[in-house]
Amino acid sequence: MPRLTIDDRAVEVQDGATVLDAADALGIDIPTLCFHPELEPSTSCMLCVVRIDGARSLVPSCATVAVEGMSVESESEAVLKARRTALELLLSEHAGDCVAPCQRADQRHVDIPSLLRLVGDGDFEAAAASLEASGVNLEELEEDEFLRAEKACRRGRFDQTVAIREVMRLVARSRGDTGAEASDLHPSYREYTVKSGALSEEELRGLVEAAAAEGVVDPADPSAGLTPEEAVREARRCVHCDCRQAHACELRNAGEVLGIQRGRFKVKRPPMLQDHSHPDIIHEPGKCILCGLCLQVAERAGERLGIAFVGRGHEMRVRVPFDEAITEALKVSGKACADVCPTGALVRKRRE
Amino acid sequence: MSVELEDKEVVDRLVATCGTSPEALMPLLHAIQEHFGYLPREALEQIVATTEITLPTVVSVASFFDGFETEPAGQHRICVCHGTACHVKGAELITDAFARHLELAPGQHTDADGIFTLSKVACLGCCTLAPAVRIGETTYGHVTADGVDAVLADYLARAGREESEAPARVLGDDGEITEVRVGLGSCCVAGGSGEVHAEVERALHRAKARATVKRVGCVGMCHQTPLVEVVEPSAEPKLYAKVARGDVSAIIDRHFPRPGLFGRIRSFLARRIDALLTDEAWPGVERHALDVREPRVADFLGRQQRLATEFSSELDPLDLDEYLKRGGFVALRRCIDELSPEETIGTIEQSGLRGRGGAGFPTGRKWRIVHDQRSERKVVVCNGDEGDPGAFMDRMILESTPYRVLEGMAIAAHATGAREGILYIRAEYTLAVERVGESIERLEERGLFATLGIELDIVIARGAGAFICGEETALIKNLEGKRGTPRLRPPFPAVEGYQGVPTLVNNVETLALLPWIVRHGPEAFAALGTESSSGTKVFALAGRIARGGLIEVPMGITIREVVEEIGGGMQDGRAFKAVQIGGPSGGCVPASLSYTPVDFDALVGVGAMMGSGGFVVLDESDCMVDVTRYFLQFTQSQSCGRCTPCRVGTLRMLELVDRIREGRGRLEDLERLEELSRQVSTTSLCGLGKTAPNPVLSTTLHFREEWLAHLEGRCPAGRCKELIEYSVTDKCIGCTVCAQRCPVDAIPFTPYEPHRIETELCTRCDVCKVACPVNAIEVVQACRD
Repeated sequence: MPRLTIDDRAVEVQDGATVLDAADALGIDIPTLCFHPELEPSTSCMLCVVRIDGARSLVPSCATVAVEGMSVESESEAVLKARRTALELLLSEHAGDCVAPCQRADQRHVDIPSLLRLVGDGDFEAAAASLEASGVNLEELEEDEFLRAEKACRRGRFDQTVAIREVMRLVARSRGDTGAEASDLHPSYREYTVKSGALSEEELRGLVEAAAAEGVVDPADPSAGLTPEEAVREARRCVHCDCRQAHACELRNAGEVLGIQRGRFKVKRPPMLQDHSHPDIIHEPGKCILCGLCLQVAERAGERLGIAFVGRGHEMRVRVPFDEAITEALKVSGKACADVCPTGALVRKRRE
Repeated sequence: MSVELEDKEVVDRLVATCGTSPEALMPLLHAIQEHFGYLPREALEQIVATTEITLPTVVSVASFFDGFETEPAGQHRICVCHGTACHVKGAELITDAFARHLELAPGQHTDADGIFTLSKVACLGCCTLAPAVRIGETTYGHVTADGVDAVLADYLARAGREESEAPARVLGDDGEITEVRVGLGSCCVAGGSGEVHAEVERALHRAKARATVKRVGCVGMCHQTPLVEVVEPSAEPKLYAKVARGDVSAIIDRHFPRPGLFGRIRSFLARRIDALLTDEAWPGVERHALDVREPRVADFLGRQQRLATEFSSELDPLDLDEYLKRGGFVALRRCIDELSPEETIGTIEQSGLRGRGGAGFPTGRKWRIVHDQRSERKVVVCNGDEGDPGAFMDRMILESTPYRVLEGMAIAAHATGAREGILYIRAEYTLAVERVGESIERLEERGLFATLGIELDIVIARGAGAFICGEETALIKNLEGKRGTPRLRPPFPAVEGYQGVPTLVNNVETLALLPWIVRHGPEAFAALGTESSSGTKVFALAGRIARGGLIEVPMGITIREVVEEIGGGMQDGRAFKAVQIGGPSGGCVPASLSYTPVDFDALVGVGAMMGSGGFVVLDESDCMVDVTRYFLQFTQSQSCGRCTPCRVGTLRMLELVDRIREGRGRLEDLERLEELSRQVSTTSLCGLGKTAPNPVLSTTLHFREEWLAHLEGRCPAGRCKELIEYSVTDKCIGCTVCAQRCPVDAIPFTPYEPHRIETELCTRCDVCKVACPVNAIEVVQACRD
């Protein structure tokens, strides 16, 4: 039962416990990304670094075993600076926004991409309930409701913006009496967001193709608004440039806590790519921090093809061997992989 | 039978030899690549089908190493060495020249006809022949950008003709006979000593001379390769340097008078001729010089003390009897007969020996930790993954005196209680792998360990071109068949290493020192060197000095003594500027601090590091920003990718260095670079990341004015392409040589008139400057708007 101090507070822990465990016992919050309690420590992100016994080098607390008499610094300026640097480095390579431009621009920050996905599935009633839950008065939509959101839609640079106002009008009229529950919305909007800036035409085309999104919809009778069938097609034009993990993304949480804005390192970010081919999950390599947790999950699940770290150093990526399809790679463990992903690199298509 | 089925059978056979456990993966990948020339997918799938190894593991391990190819390559591979010495002598320009010559588009590596594949290698370990290029098995030294076509033509011509075997000679067996020693270390072979060796055999046969030809290891005078030494029983040995094949018969005639009058006249003449002509002269590649009568270079060898490299230039590397005759295994026998494991450890502790792999951890203390572990099974690992560009002492020791390394391992095994030994050697060191392998076999045949009463099984494992595998935890992971990514220490390998058992990892040079220490006593070793760093250290001396090579010097010798006394001062009369010590983890020591002694702690004190012993001398024509970029680029490319500060941080650092080097940087960029360097150094997981910023931190400290000059758009040394221009001075005689040689037609063809370089077209390849017969082309600072 080693006893140690963290930031001058004493604690006694079980043999074999890590410094992170000890901090937890003291209620000291150490940010982590690549750590998962049920998996082997990756010691990759270096967000959980601490200084031990005044040493020059910092060590990851997630894998450092607590030793009798250890003196740990967790919140000193040097340690916080190191954590901030690690996070800034990760964010300098991050492709994707926490919040889509439409939601950011909207007065009420309604989670429009999630609503469009409900409409795209034809579930107007759930969409209506969700819209109401976002504080929108369904009885009478204001004239310019969703105008700003629509103007901000990234798809505009590709062909036309998604007709968010028209779709939402139809949604507002669809409130049923079946008592459908508001679902699939990001619980709450937060100001803090990572921004990737404008998408190139190529990236947009890639997103359109990956999501198998519909082309421009010409309503049969423009004066009458969209028919439900047209609204479904219109909603399916969304390129899903939001992050489906934004509510629970540990990268975002850490960025918020440590107050990081992207930008100290001016570099060309990697392209924003999505792979929707798997029935259960979406893969966005530009959001991967290479922690390797998914690799462990796939391996434990006994996937034959599986996923692997391919390449070395900065060229290293999580990839399917021989670039086979991800559907073949993660036959049974897709959702489980998404569940351990600390960012939005592997996410479930739908929340269950 | 279908081709595919045959391929599968090949893999099955290989699996039968290598085994089916996870540790078999690296040997299997090597064997498959040797068979197919690359790693075909079907073969990898077959591994998975027949072993315990999973597909993600196979793919991730194979893709970790530069040495494994997943695509079929051209028939011949051109490896341009990008080691430190080659870099300062223009390796980048050579690569560009090959790419131009083979008409490779950016990103393309194999020419359209599939004949050549162009690749960069971290280091061929022939630093004294810099810039060096290896094609197939042939190494070319002193290559110029202008001469790449000649190199390729020569290679293709050689590839067409097989080397004939040396004729067998009959020797008498009475009395002392003359010994002709031919250096056959890799540098010597690169210099052409293989051909020389065959020619010596032929010439002795022709002369009916009574002499033995002996291949010996490295003499260390790599600047003089190939070397031939004639040792007559009652005369001073004669050492011939830079011997070409055509010189051999003259040398033999000098020493072995031919029978008959005509023969005697010939011999007499041979002794009188001062300059010998080589049989062929071809442009672009330096043929080794004409004067073969260079005496033993007293200055070069005088200050050296050979402990780790003892006898390396005198012994046939594979002759076990000779090794035994020269005190081989005396030390091991003494340890076993007279010293308990405890006492053996005490001896090493008393000697003050610190690990020669770079960090300088006290060897005895490491041994004690392994010894004190209560474990049935323990392993001794010899770390021969010498990956520093510019360091090749471990290769030379393994090639020249393999038995000494094996003896060192046995002593370490005796002290720690290990019964298994693994030698991890870079796959690029083919000769070392071969010789060590053969030495192990001969030891086993002789049953030497058993006779001495020691139980030790030694095997060889090969790396595949990943610098990071020199880090001990990464090395162990790779031995286990995994990617070579380091892990957090503790637990240290000495407590929990290979397959979870206590593992002693010692570097080649460290192990090679052990027999000497035991034979001469720890006091004798401790008497050499300084208080904190006892004994000697082997350095690879290269760069802008007159004499380069492998040197072994007592610790405490000053940098200046090495440069001036051993290195013979600067080349081309330029001013001594700095020494880069310790390779990519090390730093640059300016000439003003050249009185610093070579000692673990003193070097750290001036921002450098012993590292693995690279010692590259730089002069005023070398740009420190460019040198920094070179090392940073190396470590960045060798990061394993595991931790953020190293994977991403070193790249962000490199981008900042590039901004500055190209004249686009501002003062904030320099400050940001320094700040990020400190962060990467404190938060990276392993030694590679922790030391990667050292070149930046040492040059921004000692050569700040050069960094500031780049911020203003000037490269004082005239090296950084973006900041310089080539221009023709009025010395030009209008001979058109430059216009003819310019690969991009940036010099209009104007016979008898002064030439002019069109700067917009110029790629700064330096060909014109080298080609100009009257030195009328100069490098000037670029005009900036």
